[in-house]
Amino acid sequence: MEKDGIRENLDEKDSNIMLPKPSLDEFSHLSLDIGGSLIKVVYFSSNSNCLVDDNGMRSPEDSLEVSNSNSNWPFLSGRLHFAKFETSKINDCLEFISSKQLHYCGSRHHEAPAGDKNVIKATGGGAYKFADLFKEKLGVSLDKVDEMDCLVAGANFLLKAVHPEAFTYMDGQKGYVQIDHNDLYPYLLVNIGSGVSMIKVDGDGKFERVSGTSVGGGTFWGLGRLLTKCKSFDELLKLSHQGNNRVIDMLVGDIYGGMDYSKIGLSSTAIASSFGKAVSENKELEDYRPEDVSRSLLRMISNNIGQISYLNALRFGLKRIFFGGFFIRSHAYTMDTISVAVHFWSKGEAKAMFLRHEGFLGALGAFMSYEKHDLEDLIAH
Amino acid sequence: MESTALCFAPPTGLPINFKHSINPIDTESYGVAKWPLKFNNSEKVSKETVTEEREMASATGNSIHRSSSRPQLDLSGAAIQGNFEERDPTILLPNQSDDISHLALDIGGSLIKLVYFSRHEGQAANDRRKKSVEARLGVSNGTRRSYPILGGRLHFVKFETTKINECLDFIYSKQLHRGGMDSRHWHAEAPNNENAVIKATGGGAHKFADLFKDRLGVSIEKEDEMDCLVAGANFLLKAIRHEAFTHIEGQKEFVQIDPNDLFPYLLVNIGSGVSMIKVDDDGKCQRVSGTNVGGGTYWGLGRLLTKCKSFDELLELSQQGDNRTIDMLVGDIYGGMNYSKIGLSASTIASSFGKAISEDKELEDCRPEDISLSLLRMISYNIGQISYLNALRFGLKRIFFGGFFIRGHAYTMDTISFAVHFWSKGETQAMFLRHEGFLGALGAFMSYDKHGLDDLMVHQLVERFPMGASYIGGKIHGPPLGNLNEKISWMEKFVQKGTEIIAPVPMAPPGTTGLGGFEVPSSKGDTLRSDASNLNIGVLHLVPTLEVFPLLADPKMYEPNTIDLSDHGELEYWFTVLSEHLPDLVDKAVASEGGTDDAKRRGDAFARAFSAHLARLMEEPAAYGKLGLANLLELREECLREFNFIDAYRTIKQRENEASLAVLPDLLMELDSMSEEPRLLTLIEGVLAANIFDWGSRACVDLYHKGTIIEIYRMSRKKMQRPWRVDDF
Repeated sequence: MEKDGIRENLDEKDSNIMLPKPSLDEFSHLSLDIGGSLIKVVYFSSNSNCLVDDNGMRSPEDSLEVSNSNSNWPFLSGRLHFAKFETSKINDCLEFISSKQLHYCGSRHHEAPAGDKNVIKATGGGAYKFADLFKEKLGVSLDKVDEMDCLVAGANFLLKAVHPEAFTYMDGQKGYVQIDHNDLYPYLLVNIGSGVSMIKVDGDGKFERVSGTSVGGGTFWGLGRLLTKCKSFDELLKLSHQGNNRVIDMLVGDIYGGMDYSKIGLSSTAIASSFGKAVSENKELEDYRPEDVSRSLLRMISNNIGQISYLNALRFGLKRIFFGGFFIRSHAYTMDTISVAVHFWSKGEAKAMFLRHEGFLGALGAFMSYEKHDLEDLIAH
Repeated sequence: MESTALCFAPPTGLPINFKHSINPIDTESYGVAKWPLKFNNSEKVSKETVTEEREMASATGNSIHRSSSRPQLDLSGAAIQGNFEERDPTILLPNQSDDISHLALDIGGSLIKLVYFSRHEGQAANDRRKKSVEARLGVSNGTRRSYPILGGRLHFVKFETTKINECLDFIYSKQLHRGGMDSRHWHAEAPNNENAVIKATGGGAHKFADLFKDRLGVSIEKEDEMDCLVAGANFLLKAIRHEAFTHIEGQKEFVQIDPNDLFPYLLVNIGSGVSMIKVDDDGKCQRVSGTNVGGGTYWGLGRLLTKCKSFDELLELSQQGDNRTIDMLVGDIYGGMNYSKIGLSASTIASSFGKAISEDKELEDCRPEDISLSLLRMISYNIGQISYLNALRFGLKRIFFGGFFIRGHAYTMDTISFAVHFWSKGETQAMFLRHEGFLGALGAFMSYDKHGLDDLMVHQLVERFPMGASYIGGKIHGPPLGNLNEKISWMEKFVQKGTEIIAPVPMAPPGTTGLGGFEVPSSKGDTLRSDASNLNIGVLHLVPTLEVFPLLADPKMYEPNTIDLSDHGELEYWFTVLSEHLPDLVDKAVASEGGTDDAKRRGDAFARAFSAHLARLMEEPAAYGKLGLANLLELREECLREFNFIDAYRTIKQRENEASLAVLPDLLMELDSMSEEPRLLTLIEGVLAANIFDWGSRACVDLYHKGTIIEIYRMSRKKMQRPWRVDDF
């Protein structure tokens, strides 16, 4: 994980959510979302600083840096902390949990607090895959919570309880959107993880996975790694900043000799074929700048997700599309591309919206599934 | 005015009904044009003379080669036609091969697709001049609104765009650009310049316009791409019997489309990028969507990742691939379990290329085969999904996929079909087109004002699969084949080369006919050929004189095939029969042409060609469309004709006719002397005997080796003792 990358975006990213709750030191929870690429961790602490003892942890914990920087927010008596790890480095995550004794946090809430009966709520495919590992390493059982349930619960919570949470992003301009609690449903939730799930949400706990695509964050990272030798997702994403996709993509203008194909509304700069220029015989992979490759890849995937999302929103008459998941990472260009795709295909009628806590929907949802988290009736203020 | 429009002096005995008075002119009585001729490009030049100017070329009596970058006309024997006092008289180029009337192009980002129409070769194949005149007359009596439709052929050819020079050479050597100018006669309002015009579509029509001007001296008239795609698809779906098919889990099934119930549909054209067009009627369409993740993405990314040198190589690689090493499956995330709650099985791809994120895997560690397959699957599936969503949006039940990305590749089609099936829960079907890559080019062709195909009927188009063009899917290798001799030489080389590439081909040709011992393959070859699942496209023969048999109750439902060869047992049986019969047929064919060395060589070529067809069909029975026994027999006949065997049974027929005529009077007398009932029975037996003779079965062939039809007749009658198996007499 690039610490710098996260610092950069600090005030846009997964900032702590301060909870107006009475101080309850003993009342803490840990929940996990173990995805194909990343493990997302959410845990709750009181406002004491007991957790801020970063002993050279390899993985940054967002709460450490931001906790008191947000003056907008009211005095808090509890904090939700967000952290993430690469799934391939699951041991770092286990170490982190163990060092913070987070796995005991969960247990305190339960009726049988015997050390070996600890239960942690977890979602994502890894909740199944790594159940044994957690048992072995931390002596805790993973209580598996359905992934979709968690995503939706997490999104609903964020959209209702956190303000501002949702925003649009067009031409580099971020605009926060005030969501009326009573007029939230129905909406389309697009969770972009390794793959992409598209969920039609009709109410609390009322939803249906209507679509999805395998072309998601994992594709960006996987293809990107093969093409650029980048060492991390964030590095790849950063590269794309300096890239120019026109070097690799075949534009409408390339086919039409610099002209628009105006009859069907395609401008000469529209991408006709992603990576279409790479078919030329005299250029090999080494001849392309990794920056350009990354940019082209990012545009291809973002645009595709935006398009399929819009088509599904249209199909069910959904006006609002919220994009979440770890692919986005508040990356301006990603959001821009998705927004433009939705805007283009809907002829401006649908808007793409993003969530500040985009990556933690599942983990939050798992957190919400603790029987008594007392956050249910939380009102955003 | 009309008289000046005549470019040629027709010989006597015009085959075409001509409206205008023509004065047959003896070309000998006119002088040879002086070189160089002056061109008059002033505004005053009449529209008619414009055409004539194009006929003119710098000429003396002999062939003059201009600079090598310029088109070269065969100017030998050039002579001025028409009234000598005209300022710009027509020049006849009697040796110019111009039996081709139209050429249309679709110049895409990756491939150039070419469609051209040629007239049927005249009966007197050697009389080039007559032929050319005929052809010209067929299209050049321009003031007629409904000019006569001559039979002809529609050819399909493709080139890689990077090898555009090969394409130009091809056009030039076949003089296709010269044929294109016929259109000028129909465009009375065409701009006044000295160049011929070719209809073209695709981005390259803009990009390469100058190159065509430079190299061929022709102007490109750009046609809108979408319009062309749609016109091409409509034409194909209406005009070709077995054009559309479904492809599910490796099974190809042809779908008969009712031309009256075609619209609306979604046309998805997958080229470098993807266009999705809602088609509501002829000429009524709207591009509703598209995606930039298309064929160019597959090839582009594939090249970067695998170092493949061609699209086809990349595609071929995918056949040995296993995408599970690259893609992250649901099972990978869920520890081998399904996510059944939302209907995702463990083998569903959760994230394309998602496994490539692991740190211990570099590009070098991934098999190119797996990468290619993963890429192919990702892109095909994505296209299928977006297409379905758009079909759903507009309530379209049918989706036709075309464009050069597909290339008849089974996995691609399966993946697209699967995606459409999956997302539509089986309610929408993905269909594919055999001429998938030629939609645009065909549409450009249709945009000639009078291509003569407007009102054509399905029954007037017959698709043939001659060697050299169709067998390799319309792709041109090497120089175009100018004549039969070149074709035979090419065939010999091709089949020789083919033995390395193609699994079963005829072995060494022994025996008198130069062929025999051809073993019918009983199973597929071990290795897949690159185009194993390719659909072949043939040459479309337009035969306007064909009419539907009027007594058919329902011509649309009529199926001439009584034996369906999709049954593998039947297929194998008939292939054995035809293969075993082949040497004898070749003997007959060679004999019918006098048994000369030339006939033997042609016979040999025919045998190779037909055997190659058989081998191809054995491997892929649906390669040429739906296959029935009648198609197979027709294919054999066409193959014979291709090598100039007009009638393989000619000598036998002659012999039989002579023998029969000799005994006919006696036979008639015999019949006359019979009473009503035995006479009828005798007649029926006679008809049956003749029919048996016509069966061409091994036993019958043995029979007529020994004697004449009369003897068969007598013998059959003896064997045909009643009661017959079915006996209502």
